[in-house]
Amino acid sequence: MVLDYRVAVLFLMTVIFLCFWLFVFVPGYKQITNKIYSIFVGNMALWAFGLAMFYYEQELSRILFWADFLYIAGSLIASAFLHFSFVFPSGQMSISRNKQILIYLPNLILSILFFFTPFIVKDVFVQDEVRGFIYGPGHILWDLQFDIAFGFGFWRFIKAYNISSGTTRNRLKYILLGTALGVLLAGTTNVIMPWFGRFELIWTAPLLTSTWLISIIYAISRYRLLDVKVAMVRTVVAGLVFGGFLILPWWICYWLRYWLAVEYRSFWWLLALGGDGLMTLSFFGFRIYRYFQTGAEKTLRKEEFHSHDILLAMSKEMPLIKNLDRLLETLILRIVKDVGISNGCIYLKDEAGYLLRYSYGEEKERLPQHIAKENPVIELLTKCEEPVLREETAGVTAIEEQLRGLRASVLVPCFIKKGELVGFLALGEKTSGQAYTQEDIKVFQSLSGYAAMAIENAGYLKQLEALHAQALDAAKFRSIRQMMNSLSHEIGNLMMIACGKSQVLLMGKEKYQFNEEVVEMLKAINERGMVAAEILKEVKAYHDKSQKKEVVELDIAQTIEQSLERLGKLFQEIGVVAQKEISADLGQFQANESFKDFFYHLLKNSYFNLKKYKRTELSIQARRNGTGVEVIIQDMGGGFDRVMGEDTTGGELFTERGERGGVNVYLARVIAQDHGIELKIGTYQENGGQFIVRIPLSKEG
Amino acid sequence: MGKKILLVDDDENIREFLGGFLKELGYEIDEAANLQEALTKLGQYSPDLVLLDVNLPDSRGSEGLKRVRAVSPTVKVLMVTGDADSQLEEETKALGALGYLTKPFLMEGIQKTVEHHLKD
Repeated sequence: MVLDYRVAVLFLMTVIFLCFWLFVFVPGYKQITNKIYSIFVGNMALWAFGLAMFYYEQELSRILFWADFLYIAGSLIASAFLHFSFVFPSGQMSISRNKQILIYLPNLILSILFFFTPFIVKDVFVQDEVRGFIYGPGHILWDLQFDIAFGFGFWRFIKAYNISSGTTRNRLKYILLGTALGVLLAGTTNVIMPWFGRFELIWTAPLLTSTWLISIIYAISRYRLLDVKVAMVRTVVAGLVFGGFLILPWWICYWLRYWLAVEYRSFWWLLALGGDGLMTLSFFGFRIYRYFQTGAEKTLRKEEFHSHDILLAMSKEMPLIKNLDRLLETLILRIVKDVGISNGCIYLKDEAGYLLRYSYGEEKERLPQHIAKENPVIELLTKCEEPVLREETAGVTAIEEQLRGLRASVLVPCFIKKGELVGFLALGEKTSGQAYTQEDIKVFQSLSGYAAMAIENAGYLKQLEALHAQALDAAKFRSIRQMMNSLSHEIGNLMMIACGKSQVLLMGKEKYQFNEEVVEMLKAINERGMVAAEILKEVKAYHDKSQKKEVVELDIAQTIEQSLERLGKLFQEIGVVAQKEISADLGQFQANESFKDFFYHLLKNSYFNLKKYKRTELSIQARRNGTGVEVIIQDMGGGFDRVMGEDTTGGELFTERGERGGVNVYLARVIAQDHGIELKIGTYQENGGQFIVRIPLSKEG
Repeated sequence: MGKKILLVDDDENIREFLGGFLKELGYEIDEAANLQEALTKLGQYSPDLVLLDVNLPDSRGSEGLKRVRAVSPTVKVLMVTGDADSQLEEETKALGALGYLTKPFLMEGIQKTVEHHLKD
């Protein structure tokens, strides 16, 4: 048996592939993506091992066995790649179990043919340094399976790549690039060249596939492919640290080998090994002890741990509770009842300090309703950022007094981020009379983190709802100017911040590990907020323009064209091409700047409704009519439920047509009213909207 | 040390939120609530980028940008506005503004625009 350089390289590649398999499989064995990809990587390791043994063995019958083995591993690599294309990037298996079996069925048939017949590989030969295969008549079958599985897999990935975007697209790019390079290079040395009787390079194939390995590792570190980045970094760091320590005894013993040889002869290395053993034992021994200790404690304090489990399970569900009052009540009641505490309450931050929001248990009426920011308890919680036990504060009179006032044995702070105390829980004595344990504190800490997030979410939604309600209340005012007074610049900005915050949280949804419901809630907040912010923006724009005193001469035809141009992109998105009949001689109209938006608002209402009904018909006719100009805008975006044309006093803000364009109709009506323009709004051909505008012109116009 | 951004907006909430977001992205942030304060900080702070609100208590429209240019002719400026006004956009672009960030904000867009203009 000879360990030549090829065998050494192939064993090394086997070890590298095996390590990579561990990285892929161990941290992510619960995820199907990692599971299936580990089949692919595992087969790479088997293939490299098969090749290593193929070169390592000297006896022909054994070499033939390993030849068969490595061919089977090769075919399994192709099948696993195809299998992987059905789970990535969706993260869900998109084919049935039977179809999955079908993917691997050819491998089973090939295995039988390889190991029990000479149909595919008849024999092997060894000639000087070169080892190769003598193929049987069925060799083409292996090639077919390999090419079809890889080809189909690549086709599926290319299709997914074309329709993907962002990080997923980048992940797919590196999977495709890495695998394609690997297959191309290894395929050349191990599939194409053997066809022509050239076997001298087959040992290089695993080495060449390191292009694949580099590409995938790059995608793991850069684009979190397979979600094993953290595990990889931890393992590498741990490996380096352990390696550094474990090599020490060897280095010392090697250095002292001549001196040690006197006593231990050639077995000096046993001392190094013993040193490593002791170090490993001292490291793991403590962990083993902790493992058994925790197990024993769990058995002894089953009840307590059970209540902790319930609390932790509940804490993860808390961010889903959207009603803040209900959330606070649930939080306190569950803690008090599950842990068995005499009383509990929660304080939340307000402008001046911390307000009592919910309390339960004995003497709750005597609790302070408000705690100032400067209170020593608040300062302590902000500073230490951890639960505070009463016994820890013994001797600090100011704190002790406050804790007595709060009826608290423990205070649990809730932080959104460093230094930002959003609230705290004050919990009384345990009804069992026992003291709080370290496990209790740990559970409270974890609970407080989730509680802070839930409080922030719920409070944030409440704030948004309040703003929304404020905007709608304001919308009901009879005068648009009154409405503007109520809709301050600040509300618009707060709305934008609410949307911005949702977007930032969504951008980091993977980091925060939000579940789907939280993501959906954030999306809803963002969408609703964006709509409200857009409405406020349009109303404010009207207000700013209508405040300008100067009167300008505006060309009516040009104003219509400019409005169409402003909405051009939106119309294009839904495929609307306006049919226009606009006379060039419509003349000039004396107006203030808000008139520039008059047709824009009418057309925007049409846009929202055409979009809603997925229609594209829109027409605009504008011509001189007696002493004025008549403009008719018609669309097929659903009719108005009521004819509202007669009322130009601003009696209704939102029309009953569409979802978002109501404010535009209202603003158009106010602009019409400001300028003495007649605007009739009605239903057109039963299923469309119609705006008839009559603009009076001055004698010169 | 990250690149420096001067955030000029009269609304404290916007400054706090946008500033916090940009800080998380690794930028160093200083704030100004009006143009006068911004002009003073331009000299002291030497920002790489200025996010300048179009409407400030002591300046309107392109006036703020003109005065920023007078103090620092080369500093990169992105205008922040709630109203899409093509005339103002052309005017400020002629004065060397790199572009507009419009409200309501799309945070991903802000991140990309700022990164684009601050990359070496």
